[in-house]
Amino acid sequence: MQVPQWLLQEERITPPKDRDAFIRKSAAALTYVLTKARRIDERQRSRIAFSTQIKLALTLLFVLLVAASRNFAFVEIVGVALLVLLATYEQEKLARVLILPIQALIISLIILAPSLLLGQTRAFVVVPCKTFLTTTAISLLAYSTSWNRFTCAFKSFGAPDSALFIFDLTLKYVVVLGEICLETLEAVRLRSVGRNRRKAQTLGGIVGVAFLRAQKSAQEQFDAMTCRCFSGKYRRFKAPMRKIDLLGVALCLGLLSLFIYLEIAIRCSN
Amino acid sequence: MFELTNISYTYVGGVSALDDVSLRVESGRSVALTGANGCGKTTLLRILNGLIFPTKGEYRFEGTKIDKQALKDAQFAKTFHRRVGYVFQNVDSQLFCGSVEDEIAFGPRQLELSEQECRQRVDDCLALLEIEHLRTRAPYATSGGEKRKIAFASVLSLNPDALVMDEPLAGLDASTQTLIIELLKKLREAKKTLIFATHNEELVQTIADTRVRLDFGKVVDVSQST
Ligand SMILES: Nc1ncnc2c1ncn2[C@@H]1O[C@H](COP(=O)(O)OP(=O)(O)OP(=O)(O)O)[C@@H](O)[C@H]1O
Ligand SMILES: [Mg+2]
Repeated sequence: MQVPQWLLQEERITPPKDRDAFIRKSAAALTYVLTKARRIDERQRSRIAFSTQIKLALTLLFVLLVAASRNFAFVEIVGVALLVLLATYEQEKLARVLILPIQALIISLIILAPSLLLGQTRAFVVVPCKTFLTTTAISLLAYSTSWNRFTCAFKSFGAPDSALFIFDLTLKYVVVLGEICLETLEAVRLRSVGRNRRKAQTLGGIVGVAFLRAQKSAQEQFDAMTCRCFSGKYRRFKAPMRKIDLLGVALCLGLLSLFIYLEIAIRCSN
Repeated sequence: MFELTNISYTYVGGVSALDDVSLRVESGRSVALTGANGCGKTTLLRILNGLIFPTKGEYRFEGTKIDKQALKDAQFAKTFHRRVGYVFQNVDSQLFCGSVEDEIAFGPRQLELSEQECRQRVDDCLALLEIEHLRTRAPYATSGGEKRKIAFASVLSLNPDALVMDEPLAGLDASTQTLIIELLKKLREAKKTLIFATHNEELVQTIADTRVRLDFGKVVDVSQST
């Protein structure tokens, strides 16, 4: 074996300076987002431990009713209830849950700003309120439920297997892609030892390879499922009904009756 | 060159992977880390490369404390990463370019070597690891053992002063194992610092000056070989 001479000598090169803040910053930002996404699986169970089906049903109902309601009193009442629930969260968790709704709130305010000039003050209040409440509800659901439980919950609502399969594989793909991006960024950092004259190309290439690898390993996960006798059928998720779930059902019914009552009230008063 | 003083590392979620480990590695020495699965070898190597930072204790590289702050200085971080090469245990995640050639040239290009010198290094590394036939292939679409050889080549092309390797022989066939062992011997003679985690006795016997045995995150034995 012939080891080349340069490899046996000590390297004298000092790394050239580079304005690579762009790659480093985007890497840092991506890492931050991805580690957050990964936490999804590491979360602890929330205090209100309804089963996933109940949570899903409650959230969907909530979103639907808030969006449909024409009586602002309904929005106010459930809004207060939601805020009370949020108040029981610790500060750090609260921040994580509220990031998305606050962004949605700001965007809807900006979009609706012209309506103020037209004298439509009502829309300026109602729409952002509804936006904030619905996104908060969804964000709460996402925060307190791990993704694979959703697959089970959808199944118990009668979603077809083929749809579930796509949903499941997509989730896997997203998680795997996140993992791979994190690992790749580490590898890139270790070998970023100087100046890169083709930054955009490098970054583009790396992202492309990460996608291909994610696809490959999502496929491999599916193969692994097949090898362990997965036939494309998802079993129905049969969790025993617990007492707390009855409370959840009661909440759903309560929400629905409040909505109907208030809608009738507003119709009669008109 | 490397100096770890009473370091501990706990993963998010509370798994304690290293517990009060102290280790000194002089320049030009070669050190083998051995121990059962999950005893903390990979964690230790990741700390040496500045990918994670000890939760307790101190890590110094040639007298400079390596922590988040130190690696924020881009110039220092680059010099550090140039001088310490790392071959991952999971080589899959180490390769990120579109072709083997680009993969190996990535480092030299960053160092702004002349295009001719870059090509020279790529050719040498391909020949050294006997992977000339993979030159234009896509790294993510090669076999497990081929990936490890590509990873080796892409780290060696930077000519690091210290080479940190996690299971360098895993998944390699017998003749390739011999090839790598011969290569490491030559690198050792050239006074490169070698640190590796392995389960391979032959590698420990032939390459290591020092063997460090880990068990449940603690150093249980340090022995010098002759
Ligand atoms: N990302 C992680 N999060 C939590 N715990 C981890 C993580 N990675 C490793 N660990 C744990 O830390 C301990 C040390 O792991 P490490 O990977 O350093 O072991 P190792 O000695 O390299 O093992 P092997 O010989 O199997 O490669 C193990 O108990 C492992 O379960
Ligand atoms: Mg390991």
